[in-house]
Amino acid sequence: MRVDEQLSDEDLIRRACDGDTAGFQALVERWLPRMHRWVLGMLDDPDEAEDVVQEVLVRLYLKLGAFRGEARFSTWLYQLTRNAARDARRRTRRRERRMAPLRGDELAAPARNPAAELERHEDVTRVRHAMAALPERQREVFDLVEFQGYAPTEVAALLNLSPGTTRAHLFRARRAVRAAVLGADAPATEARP
Amino acid sequence: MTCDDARQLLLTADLAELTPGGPMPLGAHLAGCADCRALAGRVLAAARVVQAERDRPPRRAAGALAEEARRAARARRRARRRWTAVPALAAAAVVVVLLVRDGTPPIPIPPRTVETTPLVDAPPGRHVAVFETGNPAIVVVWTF
Ligand SMILES: [Zn+2]
Repeated sequence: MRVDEQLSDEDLIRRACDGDTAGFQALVERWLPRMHRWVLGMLDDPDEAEDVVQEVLVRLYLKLGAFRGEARFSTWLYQLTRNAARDARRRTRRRERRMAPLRGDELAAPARNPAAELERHEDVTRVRHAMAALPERQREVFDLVEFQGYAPTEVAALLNLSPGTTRAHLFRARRAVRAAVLGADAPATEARP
Repeated sequence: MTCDDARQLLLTADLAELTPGGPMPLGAHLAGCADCRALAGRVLAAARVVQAERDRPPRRAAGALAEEARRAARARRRARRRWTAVPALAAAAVVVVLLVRDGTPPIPIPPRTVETTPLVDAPPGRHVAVFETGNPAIVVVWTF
């Protein structure tokens, strides 16, 4: 059964709460790509991300009736996702996690220029390390804008932050991550003729 | 714009500004300076790798994930109901005390503190367990 794509989130939620399987499915189809990116940004681990997405969907199904429409659905769902990711992080932290592998490799095209490939590979590792050291909010804002294509104003709404705070987080995170990538090359503060 | 200025901007500019010929004035500098262009290129290349990772879809399709979530949610709901029904089934061994918020509770048990405060003493030689239920007005006290 095909649920009308024109239906609003609120309509789909109402249908799902009334036991309409197709309504819930349509809601999941609509939000899954975004939700999956959010979780990837929060955990940076594709295997674990899918488990967390599954858990978010379970919680979504159980709590859908509690969504009152006072907040935007995106903000509410983001919070639900954030909590599930946090629970997962707490569990895995106990397991002495190894550093995230360099998955840049798998995605990169076959190396035509090995030196450039190596440099990119190292830069991606620096990005990961620098991001891991950021405060959580900074990291979230940075990931959403830099890697998921959100405008800062959209991030502000999603995270319930003021636009000014969002911009400040983004500014600090960018500076920290890019300085880590470019290392000593970054600001040309060394004496130049 | 000097290279120093450009490199300061490089650290905080939007990704769209890091391409040569992008928005002025950084774009103009990058178009004419190979060194700064190389640095901007590294920032962009690393960002593209991570962007591609974020775009990787989940292995399972939305329909399968939704179906499994529905099933798991229902199982979780059933398990919750079963758990609250257990004391009733073992009625012979169990003393059930229902505390209704509106009435005068026979034993004062604030639901949020039952786990940490010893509010119920077990009868001699017996144990006592206190459970919260799905209904915040009802607390189950089980002696065994
Ligand atoms: Zn320059």
